[in-house]
Amino acid sequence: MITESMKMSDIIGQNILLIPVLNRFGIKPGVGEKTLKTLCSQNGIELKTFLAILNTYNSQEYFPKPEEVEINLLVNFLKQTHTYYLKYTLPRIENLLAELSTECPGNKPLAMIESYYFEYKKQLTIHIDYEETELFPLIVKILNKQINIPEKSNYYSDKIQHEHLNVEDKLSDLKTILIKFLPLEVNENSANELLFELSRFEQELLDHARFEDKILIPKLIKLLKHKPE
Amino acid sequence: MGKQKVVIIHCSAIIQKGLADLLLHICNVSVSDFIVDYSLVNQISSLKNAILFLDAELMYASENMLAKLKQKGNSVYLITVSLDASFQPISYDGVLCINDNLSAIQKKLNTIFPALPIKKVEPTELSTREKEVLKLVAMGNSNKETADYLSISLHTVISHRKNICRKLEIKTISGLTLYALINNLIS
Repeated sequence: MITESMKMSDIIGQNILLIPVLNRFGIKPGVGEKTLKTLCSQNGIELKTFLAILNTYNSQEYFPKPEEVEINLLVNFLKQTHTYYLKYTLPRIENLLAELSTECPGNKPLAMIESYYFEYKKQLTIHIDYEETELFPLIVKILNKQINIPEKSNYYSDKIQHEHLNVEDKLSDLKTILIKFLPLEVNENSANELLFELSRFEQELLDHARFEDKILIPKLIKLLKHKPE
Repeated sequence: MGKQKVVIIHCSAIIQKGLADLLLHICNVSVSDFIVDYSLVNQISSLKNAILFLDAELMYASENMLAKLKQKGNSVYLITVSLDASFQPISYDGVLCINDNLSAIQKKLNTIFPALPIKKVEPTELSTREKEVLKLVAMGNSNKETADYLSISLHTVISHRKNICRKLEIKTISGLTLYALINNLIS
């Protein structure tokens, strides 16, 4: 478990995949000998939510208590995560795929994989767009008490129930199919990079979904049930 | 240990984690539940078709409940985890001692579940029927349409689809379509 007194260099050393998560809070290596707490106060980061987010990423068995997470901050964090996917991860996967295609021009399976990827990207973008334009603003409004919650609040509960599952499964299928059917003539280093990137993204999406399904949505449903005065 | 629910009831985190890890490695079984708070044990009295690994202390604590669990037809196995190697309870199916080494545990589990070491190797090739179902599903047919086309029941189609997804390790319809395209099952 990650605690406030730990040295950031130790935290990163133990789980290098936390770096992109830390980046979203403005923290990046080199962190010197500073502790997590010091870095938080230097960067104006709210400690409790930060710890909750880091620990959730760090261990699948960790679920923060609802009171540890500030929804506003979590929503912001999730938005930044979306930006990271759209601006970095997806283009990177795309470039790697394109690289493979140029190596084997006219390779049919590869062309099929590419069009599967673009279809996937379209769906993921729609999903992210829905969250950014509908779900998150709704959450913010509810938090700021800008909307009246109807007596029968099923309306909103229904609206916020949503499915991630398919987004992760389709990506995992892409990985499985690449592992099985990558043309042998492609450059192995680019192929490896693509597979690493895909499995990292798969894990990220699972973690991301864990935030939304296990923390954000339950907390919101609770807010809707206990009408704020 | 086939489709049973596996539950570890023990307050020791070391035993929980260690046992779960061992079970996964020895026989590829995942633990479905951990119970840390013994006062919650009564909640499991309705369990059927399960394997329980229990703290030996519980033997005395809730003997009635355990006897009820063991009732005929429930197919519940009780295995204690004891600190004491000489512990010999009667009403249990087996005892694991904390000092047992890997092969001792393996041997004990084998005695209780004789079928254990034989890991069935599943065929990963699709059968002719499964290929037909895959083709139709990948072409965009619904389960119902596939069933009608092949003159089989909806239930059979669903079970074929489950097997296809497991064998190919592909979970989504679009994934299946891509698979079928690459393998020239559809064009």
